[in-house]
Amino acid sequence: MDRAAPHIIGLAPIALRMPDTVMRLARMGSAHPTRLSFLRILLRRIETEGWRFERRIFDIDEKGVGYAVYCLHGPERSYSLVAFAHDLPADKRSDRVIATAWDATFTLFDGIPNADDITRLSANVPLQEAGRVSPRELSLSRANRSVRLFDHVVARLATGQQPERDALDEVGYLMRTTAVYGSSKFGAAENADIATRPELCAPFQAEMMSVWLTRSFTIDLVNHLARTKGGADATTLAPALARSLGVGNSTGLGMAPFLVRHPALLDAWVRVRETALTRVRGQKRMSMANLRALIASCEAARDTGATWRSSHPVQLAKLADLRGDLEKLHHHLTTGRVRCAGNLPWNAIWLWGEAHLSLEGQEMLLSILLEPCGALIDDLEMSLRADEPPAPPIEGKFQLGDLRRVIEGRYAWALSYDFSTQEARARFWYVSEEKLEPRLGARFEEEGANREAPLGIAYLIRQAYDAIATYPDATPAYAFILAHPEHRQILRRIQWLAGRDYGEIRENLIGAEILPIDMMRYKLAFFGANHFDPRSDKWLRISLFAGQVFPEHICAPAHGGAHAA
Amino acid sequence: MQLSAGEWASLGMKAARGAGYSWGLAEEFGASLAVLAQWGISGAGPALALCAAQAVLGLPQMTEINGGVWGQSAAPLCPVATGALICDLGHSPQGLFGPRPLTLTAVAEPLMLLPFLDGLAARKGRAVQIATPKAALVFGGLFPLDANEITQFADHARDATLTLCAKPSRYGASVRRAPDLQTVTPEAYADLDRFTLATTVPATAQSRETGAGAGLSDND
Repeated sequence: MDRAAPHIIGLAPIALRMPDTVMRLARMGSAHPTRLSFLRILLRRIETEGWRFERRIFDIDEKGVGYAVYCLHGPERSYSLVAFAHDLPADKRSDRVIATAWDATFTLFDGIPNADDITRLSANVPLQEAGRVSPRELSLSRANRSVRLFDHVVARLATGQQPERDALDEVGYLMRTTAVYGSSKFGAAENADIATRPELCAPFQAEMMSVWLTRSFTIDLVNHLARTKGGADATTLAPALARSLGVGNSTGLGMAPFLVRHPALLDAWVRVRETALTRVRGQKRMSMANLRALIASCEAARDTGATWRSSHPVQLAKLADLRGDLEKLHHHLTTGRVRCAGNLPWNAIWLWGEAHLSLEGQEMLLSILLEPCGALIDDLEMSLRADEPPAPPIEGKFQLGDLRRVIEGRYAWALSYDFSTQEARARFWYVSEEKLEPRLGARFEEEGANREAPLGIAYLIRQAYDAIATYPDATPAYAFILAHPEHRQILRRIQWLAGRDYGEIRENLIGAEILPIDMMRYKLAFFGANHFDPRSDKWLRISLFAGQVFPEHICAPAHGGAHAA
Repeated sequence: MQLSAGEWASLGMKAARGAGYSWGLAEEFGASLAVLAQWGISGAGPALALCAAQAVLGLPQMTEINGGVWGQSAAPLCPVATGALICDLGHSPQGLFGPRPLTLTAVAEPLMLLPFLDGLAARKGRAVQIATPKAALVFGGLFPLDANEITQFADHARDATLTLCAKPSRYGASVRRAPDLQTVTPEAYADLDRFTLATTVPATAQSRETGAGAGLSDND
């Protein structure tokens, strides 16, 4: 049983899935959001605690230029999205993280900004990386309009018509962020300083709050522009259509190294998800209400699958698998094959899924099984954090013989690669001087491998293992890294991850066949993203908050707000 | 400009790596700068001096420990490598908790060494003293230290022989955390940033063709 919930009794002991099963890229690249995803955690808290919402300022002109302030008031603190809308020429619009101009720029302010704050922010937020924010700010982000959808929606609304549903489904968002920076970036608040607040304790809550309010802003903006264009003829976006839209995000390689550089956090996230699965599988009873909830959850997933668009051949094949799997699952759940009174009925569904569904389907099944079990698993959200000091201490007395045995045990997967072949070392991670962004190069074709970023964990393990082999077993680790400082980092990692078995992606991340989009999708699924749409093997589009509630749905109004729509 | 502790850690790590430190020591380098920033001290000057020295000559790195006197070559020891080693040794008899005080003949930019001692004191629940013949600082002792005491000691400790020892302490007073992070001048930031460039790879025609968004419209 998991140690996180000693108060839970009556569950059958189900073993956690093994890291060798879970931490493989093919499965990670098939992950889906769950009720423990970060945006769902945020929405639950806001609803449970009865937060209030107001559009405090919406000062945008007919060209879409101006600013807006949206506030969320929690039990103890308020948070404000400060949005700056710009008139961006089409030729300046780019999703690349290195762009220098955007349709809108945002920051999440800690509290309610006054006029001086707005003046300061207006001189910095639109500049993004070239500006500076302060510890009063919790995030910094920007977004571009969807060329495919934004003007279409405004034009339709301006003439009193709703946009085509297919057009909305095809894109899924009116604006997409190209970067959402959080903790300590560009002068923003340190995560450690704000994470003691209950509402910001779970990961990326400030960033999620910012994106959620950004979504409202994008809806308000199209309604506003339609009204200025169409006057009395204009209408507003129908609530059901608005709800189907999220905020897009365009994600390149910058997100992939995060999972390697934050292994303790990765372990915490995966452990929570896996623990939740074991609790659900361990339930000894299933009521008919439970079964109906599972069927509803399956049907919601089927709807997501139906509106999920991609043109990437890999994703198209996976989507076909997923849609087929969801039909199979629905059939399984609705045709009397589930024996609610049988032995461990939840586990039986899971085992059926493992035997009959693709990886996409299995990971979706995980999400479906978790959905109706909030009372059983939602407390796990408190375990999603991990302390990650920049240089955790090294236990120098540790003897190399023991270290070797640790590597042979926990890192057997890393030792399984034959790094004497070029295929095993075909790629190298680096930071581009021109873009200051992570890149994946071809080691034997491009310059720059001498400046490789240390993300090829399996190869680093192999090199350290071979070096250790030349020393007597009784040699203390401090003496080894004194002589070999080049192995200091990986040795620290090995020690730091003791007991954190989900901390490593168990793949050769510099191999010829690596697909970085699998890493990105995994992280984004933890955020709560869906509609994953790979644009290449290194670049992915997703949507956040699509289908979710708006502040008006779960927050009482706060007085004194402006009304944009 | 005011850098967050996280930005200090990142800048320090990349600059140190760019100057030639191993990735592992570069992490310690950044962590030391981040702690100094939390104390209200800018480590930009010492960091820059260390990076410059490392890039040009390479600071002396001990490869073995002989007795209780470290650094008997003509050049001063690297404070980051030395601090890291002291921490690695932990309770080993060759380290700070051994039977004899530790003597460092000279340490370059001793300010960068001090966060290691504070961290060790906190982790081990000991008071760690660093002393010259004329002055001393105690981390984890009875009295909390402040930024002024630390910078004055660090200036005084340049080129001095340093003696380090540790004793049990039930007080554990650390360094007062500054209300605001220390600022760094744009010039100093730019100087350190120049070292970070050595961790990056210039673009080539091929890399531009195979980059994350290459060959596709990213604006639809």
